[in-house]
Amino acid sequence: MNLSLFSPQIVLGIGGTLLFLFEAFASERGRSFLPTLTLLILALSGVLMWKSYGEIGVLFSGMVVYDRFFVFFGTLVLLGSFLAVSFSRPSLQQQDAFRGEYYALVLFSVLGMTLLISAANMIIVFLGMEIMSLPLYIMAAMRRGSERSVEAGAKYFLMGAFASGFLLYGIALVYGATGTLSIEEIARVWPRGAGFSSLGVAGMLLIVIGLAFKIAAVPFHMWEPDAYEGAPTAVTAFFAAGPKIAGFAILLRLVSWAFSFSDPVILRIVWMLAALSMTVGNFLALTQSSVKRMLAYSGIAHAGYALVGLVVGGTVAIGLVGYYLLGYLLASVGAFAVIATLEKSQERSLSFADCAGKGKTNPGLTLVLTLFLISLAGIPPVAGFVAKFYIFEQALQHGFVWLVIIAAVNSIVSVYYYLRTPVYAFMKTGEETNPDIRISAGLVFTLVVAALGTIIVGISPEYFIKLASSSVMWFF
Amino acid sequence: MSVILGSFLVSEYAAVAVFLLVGTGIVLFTFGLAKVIRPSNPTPIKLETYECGETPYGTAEIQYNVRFYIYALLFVIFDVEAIFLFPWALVYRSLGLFAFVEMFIFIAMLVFGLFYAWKKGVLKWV
Repeated sequence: MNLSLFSPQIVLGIGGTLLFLFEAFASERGRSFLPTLTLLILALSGVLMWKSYGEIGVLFSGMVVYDRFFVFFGTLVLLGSFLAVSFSRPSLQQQDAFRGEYYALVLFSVLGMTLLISAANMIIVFLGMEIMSLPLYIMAAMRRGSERSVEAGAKYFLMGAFASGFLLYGIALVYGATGTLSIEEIARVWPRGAGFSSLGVAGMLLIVIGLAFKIAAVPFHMWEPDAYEGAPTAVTAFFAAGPKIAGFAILLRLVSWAFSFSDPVILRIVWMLAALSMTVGNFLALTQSSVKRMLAYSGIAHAGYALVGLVVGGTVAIGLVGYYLLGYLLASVGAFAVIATLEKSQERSLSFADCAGKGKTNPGLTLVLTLFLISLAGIPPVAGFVAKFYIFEQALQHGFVWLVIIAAVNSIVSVYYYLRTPVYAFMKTGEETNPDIRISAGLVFTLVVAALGTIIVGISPEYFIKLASSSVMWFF
Repeated sequence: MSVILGSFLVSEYAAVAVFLLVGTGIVLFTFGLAKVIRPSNPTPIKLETYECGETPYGTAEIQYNVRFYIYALLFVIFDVEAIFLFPWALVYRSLGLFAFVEMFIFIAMLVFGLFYAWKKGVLKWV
């Protein structure tokens, strides 16, 4: 067994543990180094992840696998967390939520995500899910004094526990139908009848439902807007970056590897999840007055668009889901970073009216925010457009005409609410200016990387798409 | 496959049901027998609640101090540790050095947790 293939996770685990101790023993001044240390550990984990790129290794007697899929999605998670942590300190301090534990929790959560992405056994799927989620619940309630933050944490926890129950029950039923917990073994047994027994189908559905909670696909999305809005905004950026990508990754791995695509039931279920998520997410986003809540609903809608790729299946479309998530990740973390900076009060989140006149007072921030929103809306030439275009094209080629029609109508609807913020910022005058907007170096880094990434990933998509499809190649 | 699985499951559960019945039967029989043959002479002192030698006072239905939850949490952590230590100790000989080192890593993690709790003042009664 080559333990160095597992080193990204080991680094995250040791780093998280040491950071907890460091936080307890360090002085106030020492604590201000916590974000930097976290960034270093995340970067180190990323470097180790890429060191053996191309190899395939199965570790711990078939529990964990190291493959290109793990490297691609693991990198997405690490990149998202890196960007979310980079601007977090001033933003958290402003909201009175800066606690050293946050950084250790981030590392533990990312450890759970990487474990989840590399899972080759259902036990690790569950374990990774729990290691990822438990820190998230604490983070959501980070602003202990605020009722809304605690409510967000409690809601997230209850729904998350509910989802874990579904997942675990599903795993148990699939074990009953196939007699194994190893994903590879399930993939072997599944087409030979196990997949068509009622026990197997029920188990598979429960697993998909459990994962749908994690990626916030309608009708399992209820927790997301409240959790996103109640949590401190820097934490919300992390929510949008990490857990969603990891949830998608394991969903892709399970659906396209373990439960073979020939199964008509799963196809129909994912079809419905995709259509509902797009429609409900977009139409509820239309009615929001808070920018943060609007972005939360837009996250639900984006889960729907990405699920279209999963419905289509095959190397190209599944690879495109990875590419889509890359574009979504950059734009949404960037957008949350700008909102975190523009916010002034702790209790009320940024509304559209608050953005009025910001185009004059903070032209740079509003311009990048507009770029991110354009990418989320899917307007050329940025990443969001290209990803959406390719996924819809694939769906059309494979005959999912109705799904594409629903998706296209939704895309048009979404333009309205995405462009509302720029309209308020540039075309309306605000009554007051907010003098204490602090631009830290970390924020500049996040915004520059996210903005450049959004543009580059959009303008030259070939490299990224190739990377994403080569990561899912061996499932088929 | 599911048919085979079904009959297999039923026979397994039959064993459980028999076990359940026999278990309940034995308890009922011994208690019943004891009640029939033992002398009965209750006094107030005999009927008192047993509290490890302390004289009991008040009722049991009081509100406990919320601070106890920390102790409950720490207790659970070390209880879990003990649960893992017992099977480890049983098969220790056949696993060798690897298991030895691994268990110490596990204990070290818990010790780190205890350090953290200690430093945060969790162990102090406030």
